[in-house]
Amino acid sequence: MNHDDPLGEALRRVLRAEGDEVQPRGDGLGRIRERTGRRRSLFARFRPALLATATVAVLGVAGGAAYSTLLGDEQRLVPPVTTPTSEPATPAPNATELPPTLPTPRATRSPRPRPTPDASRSPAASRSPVGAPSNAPTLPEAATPPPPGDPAPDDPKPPKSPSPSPTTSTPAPITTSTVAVYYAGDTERGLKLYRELRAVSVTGGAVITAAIEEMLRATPVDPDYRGLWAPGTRVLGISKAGDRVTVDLSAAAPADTELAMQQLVHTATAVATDVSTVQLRVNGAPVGGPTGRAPQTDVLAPVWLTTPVQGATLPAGTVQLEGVATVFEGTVSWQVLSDGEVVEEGFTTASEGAPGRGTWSDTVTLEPGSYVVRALTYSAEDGSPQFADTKQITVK
Amino acid sequence: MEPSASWDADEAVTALYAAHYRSLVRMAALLLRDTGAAEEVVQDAFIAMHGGWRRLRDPDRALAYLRQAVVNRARSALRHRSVVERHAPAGSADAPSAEDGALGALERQEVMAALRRLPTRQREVLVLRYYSDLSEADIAAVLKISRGAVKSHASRGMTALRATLEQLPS
Repeated sequence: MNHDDPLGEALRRVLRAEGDEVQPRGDGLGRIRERTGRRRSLFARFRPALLATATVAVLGVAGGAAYSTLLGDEQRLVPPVTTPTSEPATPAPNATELPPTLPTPRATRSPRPRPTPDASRSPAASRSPVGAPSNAPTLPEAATPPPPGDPAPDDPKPPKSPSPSPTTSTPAPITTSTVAVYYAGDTERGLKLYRELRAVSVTGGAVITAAIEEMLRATPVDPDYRGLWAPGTRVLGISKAGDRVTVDLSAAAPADTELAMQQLVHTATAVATDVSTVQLRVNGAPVGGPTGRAPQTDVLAPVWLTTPVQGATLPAGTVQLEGVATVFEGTVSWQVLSDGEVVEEGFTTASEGAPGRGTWSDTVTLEPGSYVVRALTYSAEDGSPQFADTKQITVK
Repeated sequence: MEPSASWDADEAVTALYAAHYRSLVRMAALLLRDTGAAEEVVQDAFIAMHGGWRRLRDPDRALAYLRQAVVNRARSALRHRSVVERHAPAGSADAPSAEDGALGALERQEVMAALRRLPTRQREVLVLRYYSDLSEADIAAVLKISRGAVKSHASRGMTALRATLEQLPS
């Protein structure tokens, strides 16, 4: 193959990056075996369902910590090759199906699962001190003008004055980009993160800066969400070295500091795929160490309704509903309310069930009117509605 | 290690699963854009491989068979998919996004969007070539088309991607 072709190399990198984000669930081998007729005990056959129930129960009792431990293992997915137990008399204590040790096929030299690229995301990884920002390659840091279509800037102050770009005298190109900005919202499991997509103006490719400034300055479109950084907090500087971005802000988060940090980390890493950790500084002084994304089950709200967006006006007829969820067996329910009464409801299955995070979509036919759409899940324990994400929409 | 000729179908599934399941799921997800559907397609392919092991008897051939089954099944899954997620943003499942690639998020988003707009064959050829790193001959075998056809799908696909990338601010 031709490795000199730059477009080919670019495509190779994009596909590699996209592919690396795909994390299969750990139970594929078990599912295959069930269908190839390998005999297993009755318990083993029903184990996935039992475990899922047990997991939910643990959640209800002990809260997020035990849950995330379980998930941590499953999400890593790489099944450690252990004792061969092809016909388990007793179920393995682990949630993940473990393949028995087997001869290495000649075709590959490394059947042993290699560490996932995600390993580097673990908080324990790479605690080296931050290099001085002056040595670090800096992002193009011209000022970002406020986006013209900004829904509701809540900062009463005028936009901060532009800092001069140190590297270039020609005017940096301004483009519009869609960035994901994270905000917090209350759930039955405490404060968790939601995501809004925002159109922002990006100057000279400084898309991380644009996303973080949007996160600090703009009010979320959905009134159920809120930012965790104090109003008026400014970006003093952003520099990037390797996969780490150092963000210097004018003030620390007033409360919920861990989730505020995750709000910042998620926003920064969503926009820049080559960034995995964020080092926070406040007025130049480092705060904590480099921080990566915490496990999604710890920080993201279990159910997101991403389409329609809050305040959308849509033509009557078929309305598309979309979202992302980490829910038991992937079952997401939705309701459409008019004057507080449920007028339409349904459910669908996300592309992945908990502990995975899957996308879901469904459609509903609506006549003209004002509605509240909400996506939610029902507790596996007592059937109570949970984790609702709501949007007000108008159908004309 | 005892070579694979003596494996039974169950052992072959287990060994090939350990070595290739993840990369096959990723390949299928690049074609399908849905991890759950990708896993189903790959599991189906393994089950078909299990049934055909008596004929295959060789891990290399079994792997080629798996690839072929995955691509074919992904193609028919796409054909039957009712909802086209045309306007979902990149990383719509909110997967973590820490990669080595130097490409920016915007550029990557655009490349993936352009790839998804390509005709099926062109997309398959590019994924097999640039993600799975297969040779022209291997791609021809997986897709059951001639090497000349592989070349022409690849070159038309790349021309379309180039046109997209040239519109991006650099």
